[in-house]
Amino acid sequence: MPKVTEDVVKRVAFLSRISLKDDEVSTFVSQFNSILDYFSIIASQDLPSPSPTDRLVDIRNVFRDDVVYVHDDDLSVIFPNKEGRYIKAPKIV
Amino acid sequence: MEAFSIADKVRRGELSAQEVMGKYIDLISRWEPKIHAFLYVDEKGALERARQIDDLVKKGIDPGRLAGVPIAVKDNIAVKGMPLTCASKILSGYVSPYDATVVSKLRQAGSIIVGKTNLDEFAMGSSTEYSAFGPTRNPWDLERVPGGSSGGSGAAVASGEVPIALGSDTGGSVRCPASFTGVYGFKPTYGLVSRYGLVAFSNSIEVIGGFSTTAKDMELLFSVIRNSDAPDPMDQTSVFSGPTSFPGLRGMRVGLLKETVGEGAEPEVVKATYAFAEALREAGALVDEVSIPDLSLALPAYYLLTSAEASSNLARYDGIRYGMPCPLDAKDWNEAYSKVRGEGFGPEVKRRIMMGSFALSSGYYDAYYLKAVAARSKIRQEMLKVLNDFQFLIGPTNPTTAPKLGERITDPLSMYLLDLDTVPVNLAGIPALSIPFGKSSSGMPIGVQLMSSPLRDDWVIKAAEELEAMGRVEMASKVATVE
Amino acid sequence: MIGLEVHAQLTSLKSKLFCSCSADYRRLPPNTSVCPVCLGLPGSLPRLNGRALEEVLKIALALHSDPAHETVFYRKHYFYPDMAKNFQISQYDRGGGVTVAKGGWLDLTLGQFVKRVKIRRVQLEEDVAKIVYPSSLLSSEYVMVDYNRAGVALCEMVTEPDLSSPREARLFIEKYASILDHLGVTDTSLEGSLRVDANISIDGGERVELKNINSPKDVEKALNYEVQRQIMIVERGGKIEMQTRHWDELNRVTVAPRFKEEEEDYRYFPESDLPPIRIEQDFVESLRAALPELPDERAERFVRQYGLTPYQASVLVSQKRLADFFEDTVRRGLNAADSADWLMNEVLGDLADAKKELTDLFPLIDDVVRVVGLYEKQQITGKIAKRQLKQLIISGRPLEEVPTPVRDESVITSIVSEVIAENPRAYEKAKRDPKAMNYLVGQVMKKTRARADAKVIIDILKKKIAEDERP
Repeated sequence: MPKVTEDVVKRVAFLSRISLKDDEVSTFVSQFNSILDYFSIIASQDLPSPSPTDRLVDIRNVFRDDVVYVHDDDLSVIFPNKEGRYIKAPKIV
Repeated sequence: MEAFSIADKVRRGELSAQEVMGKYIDLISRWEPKIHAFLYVDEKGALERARQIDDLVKKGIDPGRLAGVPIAVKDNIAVKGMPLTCASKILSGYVSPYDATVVSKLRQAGSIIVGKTNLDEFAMGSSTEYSAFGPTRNPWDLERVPGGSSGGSGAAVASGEVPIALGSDTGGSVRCPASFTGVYGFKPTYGLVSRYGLVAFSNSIEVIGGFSTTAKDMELLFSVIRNSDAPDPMDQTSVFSGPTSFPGLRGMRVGLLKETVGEGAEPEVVKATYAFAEALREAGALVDEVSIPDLSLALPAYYLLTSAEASSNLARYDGIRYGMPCPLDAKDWNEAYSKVRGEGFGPEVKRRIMMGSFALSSGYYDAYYLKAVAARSKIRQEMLKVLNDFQFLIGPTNPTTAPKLGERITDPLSMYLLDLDTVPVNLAGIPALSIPFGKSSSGMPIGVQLMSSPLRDDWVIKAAEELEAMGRVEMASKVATVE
Repeated sequence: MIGLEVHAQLTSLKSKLFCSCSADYRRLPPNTSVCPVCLGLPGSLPRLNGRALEEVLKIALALHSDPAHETVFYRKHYFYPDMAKNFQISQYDRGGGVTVAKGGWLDLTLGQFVKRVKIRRVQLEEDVAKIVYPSSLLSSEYVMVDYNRAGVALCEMVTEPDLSSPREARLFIEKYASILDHLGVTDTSLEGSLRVDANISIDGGERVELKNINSPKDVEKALNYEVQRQIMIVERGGKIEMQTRHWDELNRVTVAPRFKEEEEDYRYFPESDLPPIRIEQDFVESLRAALPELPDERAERFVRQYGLTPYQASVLVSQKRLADFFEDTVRRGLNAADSADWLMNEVLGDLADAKKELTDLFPLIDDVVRVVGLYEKQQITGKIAKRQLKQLIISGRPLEEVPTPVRDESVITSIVSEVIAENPRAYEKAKRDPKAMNYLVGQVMKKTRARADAKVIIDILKKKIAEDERP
């Protein structure tokens, strides 16, 4: 059972792309540990590995025809940052 | 007034939809300052739609089975032209450009969407205290929570602001507010109601459900929103099944889940559950206690599984395509995303996303996520096994009545415990109805839960109708009243 | 040791993989072929295009890959502006996950022998949006994103690290492209329809991942650069680090990310919004029976039917367009051997020089057939034929003048006389030195605009000289 440290919280915050203030990090460390204790009830169970097809609805092969349907409205109205019809996003290099 | 009667009278031309809507808008304006059930009300649009309905009736055209009936929709279900905030800052400014399938069906049936109701942010919570826009208050006691996460919808129906409402149920989010506010709350079989347009939180188990003040209204509402003749092509996990006729409660075997009336359940809640069992017996059902020991795994498995799925389903919120804008001046996109998500998400959402990322990450995936799926599978198997012998299962909806505002919010785990009795139902994918069954000595409504096998949704609602017709359902009172 | 990961768009599909938006995005204004699903709007759900499964199974069968009994989609998580949901719906072959097909091989003809390159897996996944830089890659303060391409169906095919050189990698890609074209699942002439990532390690050293090779033509160059870079490091006594590098197509170099990126964890788990797929044996067999003629089969047929050499056949089938063009010329009456010869030795080179595509020549096929035909019947010289073809290719228009060859000896003779009269001193020289005849031949060629055969001119000249020398 892993003991959560600040490093672990920071790593998880990066994986989740959530920036945390310093006080948040320490709060989360203690909360994580109690939640992980709770999760360990499940982690410690002896259960067979599920198949990736395990679902609540047991169906197979639901397909859509290869037909084009044009969405009527101009969806660009919802874009927060635009340049012409492009979406503006932060630099990636 | 019940939805059934409104629709009936409007269709016949005996009642004006505009008059009806006017009255409900008035009720909303009187209750809202006290309970804050709504995040958005479309008064103008609703009255205009009511006018159109009246027009159709005058022309001899039938507007549909829910003609003129006002409905409130939880703000995590897409209504075209209305904001879709999920009670989160990260979606501020976002107006949905499309309707959820259930919303299209409601419109086609003549129902009028009055507005969007408050919820715990992204449906994560059991009290509606995690809304970024302030909590909703319980109409029965304004110092208490209405339950969650669909607290706004529950309070709106309980106060009489609307006769029916939509919510979503992932771990009890329809049934819990129904139980805390003294109304009916129904969670259908997974897949029977299209999820297209429901903002995903835990997509492998969540469903859209409904609120009403009578079982008959629930039947009507459900008949409109369910997949009635084919699965919804917009949701490839949806199913449909034909109506199943219910032979009546006489001779039905009912199992009372022992684990739900044991330690942790308030005495008055337990008492109400036994009274419910008695009512069923009086209707001719055979009620026995039944035990499913592995139910103790349900709550931790639920939180593990749903946190993992939440971390995935909420990854898309980065302010690039919609919502709170992503800053363009950060060092790079990672920093920009982290900033907008750090500011846009509330503490409970952040907590669950991070726990979920952890549970899915390399090295922990097998021990956490896969085990949670395995636990879900086990619980489902065991409940279905029991449902071979029993046509219904019962228990309390929640172990307590509505807590006070602020009571559980500092301790996440204590908040989770409110879902103890509702969560196994979600993991099993079965239908369940919370039925209002009396009040506690402090005047707070108590809800009891009626569950059945997958696709036996009709049975559950019809059983409640039968009890209601026999006068056996103990309503706290019809609806909470103001003044 | 080189392994390739090739992404091929299934351009035969009309709609995207998980929504009904048009997949024909190339000439559309940005963000017009989009919908709630491919934009990842809250509440949207993916809907699987059934034909995509068929197309990717055809690819699997062409690669002798084994289709799975049941396959599922997985979510692959990472954050990037070209990702509408910040996870890609893809597939996974570990932890119980099964892709559409696994195993298989592709045979490469390398000179005399055949090399079998093993395939690891074939899978289905969605394409990402297009990122555009307002200025250069390094100086842009922000980027611009167009989601028209987001959600288009991709077939990902991964090989074992069986390739031994950048050249082999190029040949592999060419053959795979030809297979895709012959299957009709991908039109590889479309920009961005085939993208390659490579894994390269030299002498058992660390593996370097090379991404962003967006044109198959760049594969050999990019790999050559990387091989050279690694060799130089090793020669200086350095060590190759395991890293991911990008191919910068503008500057023709591979670059490492500017600062060490924190490693992503893809957190794969099954996509619950899409039911699993059961692939029935009957269905697979019906697809197999309906497979069109593939390059290897076609090459064998060319040898049998047209008497070509295996080498010629393999070159022609390396591009479907080329093989189609070849067969079309034969259908129009050209001799197969000649056609193959002219296509391989003249036309391809001329097209490259003129920076044109074979498709540019399609409307002019009748002219090509006529020119080569005339040469076949010895009605024009090889030199004329070559020139005519070049002109055809450069102008892109049908030939206006039909090159009527000058055969009439009397005509040539009179022109020769003219030339002799105009160049008396050259004629005197030529009497003494046969090599000096070339100048006169050239003058005759000029006057006939090269429509006379050089041999005939020389014969006539010689005769004239001989006559003159007769006492």
